[in-house]
Amino acid sequence: MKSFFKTIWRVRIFSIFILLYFSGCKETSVESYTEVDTPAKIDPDYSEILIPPNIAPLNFKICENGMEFLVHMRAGRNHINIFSKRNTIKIPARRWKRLLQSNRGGRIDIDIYIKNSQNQWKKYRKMQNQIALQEIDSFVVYRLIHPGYTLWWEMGLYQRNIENFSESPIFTNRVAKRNCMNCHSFCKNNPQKMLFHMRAGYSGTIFVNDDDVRKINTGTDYTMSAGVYPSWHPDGKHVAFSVNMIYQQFHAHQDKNILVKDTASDIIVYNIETNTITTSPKVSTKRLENLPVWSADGRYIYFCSGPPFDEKMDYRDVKYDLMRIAYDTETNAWGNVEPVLSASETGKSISFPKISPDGRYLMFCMSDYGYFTIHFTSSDLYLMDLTNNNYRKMKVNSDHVESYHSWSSGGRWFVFCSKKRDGLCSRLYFSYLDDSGNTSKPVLLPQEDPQFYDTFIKNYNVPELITGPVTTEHWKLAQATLKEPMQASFDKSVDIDGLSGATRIVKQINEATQKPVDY
Amino acid sequence: FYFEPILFKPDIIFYLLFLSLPIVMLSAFLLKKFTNPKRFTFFFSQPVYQAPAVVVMTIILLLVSFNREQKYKILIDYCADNQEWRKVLDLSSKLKKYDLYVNFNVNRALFHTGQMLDNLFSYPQIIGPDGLFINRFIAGQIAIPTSDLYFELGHVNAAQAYAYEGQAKYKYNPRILKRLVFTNIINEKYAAAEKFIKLLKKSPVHRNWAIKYGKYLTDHSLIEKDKLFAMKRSQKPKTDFFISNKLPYYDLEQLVKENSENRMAFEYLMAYYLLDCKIGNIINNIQNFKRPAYNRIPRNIQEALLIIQVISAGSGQHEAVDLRKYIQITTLNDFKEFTRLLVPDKNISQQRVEKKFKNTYWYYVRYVNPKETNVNIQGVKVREKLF
Repeated sequence: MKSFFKTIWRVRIFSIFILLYFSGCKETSVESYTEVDTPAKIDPDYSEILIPPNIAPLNFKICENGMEFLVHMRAGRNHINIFSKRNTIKIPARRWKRLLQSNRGGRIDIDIYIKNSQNQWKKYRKMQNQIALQEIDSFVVYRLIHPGYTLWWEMGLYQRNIENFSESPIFTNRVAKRNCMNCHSFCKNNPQKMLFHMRAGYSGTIFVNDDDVRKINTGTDYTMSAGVYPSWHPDGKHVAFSVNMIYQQFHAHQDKNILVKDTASDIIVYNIETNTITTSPKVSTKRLENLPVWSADGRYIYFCSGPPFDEKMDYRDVKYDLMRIAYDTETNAWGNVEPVLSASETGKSISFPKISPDGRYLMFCMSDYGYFTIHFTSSDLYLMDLTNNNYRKMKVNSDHVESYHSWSSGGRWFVFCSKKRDGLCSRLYFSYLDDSGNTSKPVLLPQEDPQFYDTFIKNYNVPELITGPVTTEHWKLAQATLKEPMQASFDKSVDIDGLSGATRIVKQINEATQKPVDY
Repeated sequence: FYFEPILFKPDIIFYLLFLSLPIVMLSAFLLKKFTNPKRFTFFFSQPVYQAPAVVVMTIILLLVSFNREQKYKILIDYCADNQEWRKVLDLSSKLKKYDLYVNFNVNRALFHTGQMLDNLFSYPQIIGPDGLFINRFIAGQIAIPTSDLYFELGHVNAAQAYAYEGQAKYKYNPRILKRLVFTNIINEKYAAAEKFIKLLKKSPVHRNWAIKYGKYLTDHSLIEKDKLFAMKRSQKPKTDFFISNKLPYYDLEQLVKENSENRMAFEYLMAYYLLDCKIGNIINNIQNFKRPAYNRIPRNIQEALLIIQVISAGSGQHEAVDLRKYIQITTLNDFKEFTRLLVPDKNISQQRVEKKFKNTYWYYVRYVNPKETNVNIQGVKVREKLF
């Protein structure tokens, strides 16, 4: 019996040696090397960045030729050595987490050694990254869609744990006749308070409030469509939507691909508790009111406003201004529309305004024309200081598309979409905004396989940072989806005859067809 | 269906297959219970009888379930993808029923074999111009063939847009991935092309293809030397306009306007005018047939010109252009015979002219074109009234 256990132990020890040999632990330091005065090229470019202290390992690929690779990371007392015969560097998760947590506000030095075919080691110039003090929200929610524009098949909302590599679906269209779903939105980064739209077969807006899941039809006889682009009021009881008539066209020239445009759009506010829609003639004009967003204190709705649709108008002349209007949710009283930043001043079109949780900054996109910026190479991110309305182009921009963005609950980190990797697929980047309004170099959402993005052909769409995972069960969402939606009613106090814009067109059509008006 | 296998709808044979097992078991049970077992024991226990029985049953099932028409349709799609245009035409003649996709591929084959404007009506063009462009209604199954057509036309962005549409459903389809490599190289979007090349490199079947074109991304002189890329770069639109799937002749007009040497775009435009009965527009383009590529006016165009002459006789229209010089004497004689055979009763007229003139534009205008027949096939609706 004793000899049996001895044999077992011998086998175990031998196996450990074998494992150690093949796992590359045989060599973790280099005695002699020549120094190279340039940093090694790595992909994704995680050099000279500010790292959220709670982010997953920033695995990368070394884009230099070599037979063996050694990466040495040091931060304070912690260090990690990674030896690899391949050029992909995968950082051990636990040690990475320990290194970041123990050195918040500190620095990580990264040395890269590469052995060439003559068995000579080269040491590349040290890379230095900073670790931020403030964490980023732990989850990001996005829709994954193909670069295709009109058709869809597989579609779903996914949540990714930023602290590790796990991604899970919140809801997919498998149970909903493969219909389209879009425009997910959260109230103050709260994972338990969200909404998203279902289109086509089971159309309606799914509202999630902790365990309460319901489907609402926000389209009424007095609005041209159901709610489209949403924004939650900080009180969690109201949502501002735009209602839009959206069309898309495809360009024949190689420098452009798609134009998404509206022929009409207005702003509405949905009251969740009373299930009513209200609006005002001031935001239902013939102009194209679009993309509403509440101010941090909930007193104003900021929105974009384009010129009235004219078929003869060149699409490049459609430029949106940034406006705001006061709205009191208690009294249902609207203020007057005030200009914030006009297209005539900027020479560009403003879209997707998003206000920081502390209310100080307004981040927005500007492009040469239109508002659906994810297809426009000219789209860049801008930042406005709401204390003085000064704005400037952010340093996070590239020559490619920078578009949809959202703030972390702490107001320091933000996520945005960029197509800068290949000009084709939108990817998620994080950046940090300091006290002076300066941004850090964007950090690409890390993946376990650093070559993941090379062949991943879906777009990350509408990223929203949330403070934890969405825990609403899939079946609950499915159950609500398959139900008939509750019909929202139109606010009786709205002066329908006062509506002067696109919304009125719908009313006129109803009158012309003598459709009974129920409100 | 060959683009939509997932939408396969089971028919009676499919259900019979599932039913067969309990039926056989029940039969065996009943047979055993109500008959003399000794009578059947010998037959069922001998492999020498069992094997032929299985073979015979298999042959019967194959014969019952085999759909030759579908096989031809799949073959036509395969041949079109491999540019075996003669085979496309041969196979299409074996089909008994009309098919939209076959019509579409036959039209492509007619162009590639140099017969488009001479033999356009050799295949029944019963849905008119919708047989040229099948993308009036966006759907997954039209994306790949439509991308093929636009690529051949040099409408590179349109080919790319439809390839992306196709990708939404068939994400790793090599036909789509290869198309996207080509369109992105032509459009000088090398980073995007690289993504699809990397995907193709993962396939042992398409790896060599991917390696070949992967070299193009680093050595651009290879692109310049490649005749296909040179041609497509010369054909692609230089100025911007919006792609129209509802009225594709707008795009064709634009392509021809920008590059009069784009023969496919020109012939498709003429074919569109013929099929849509917009033959007045042919007069405006008649000078294009004077190019060396054409030693005469194609037969179907001559037939259209004769109609124009008849319609405009005495109306003052098109008098400035002497159409007679474009028409060959045989065409003129045929037209005289065609008109001679016509009688007031349309049905009798059709019977009289069908045998000899079924493949002419005159027959199409009177008896086939959808504006006359109000045909509605696979969701393709009737177009506006003729003339």
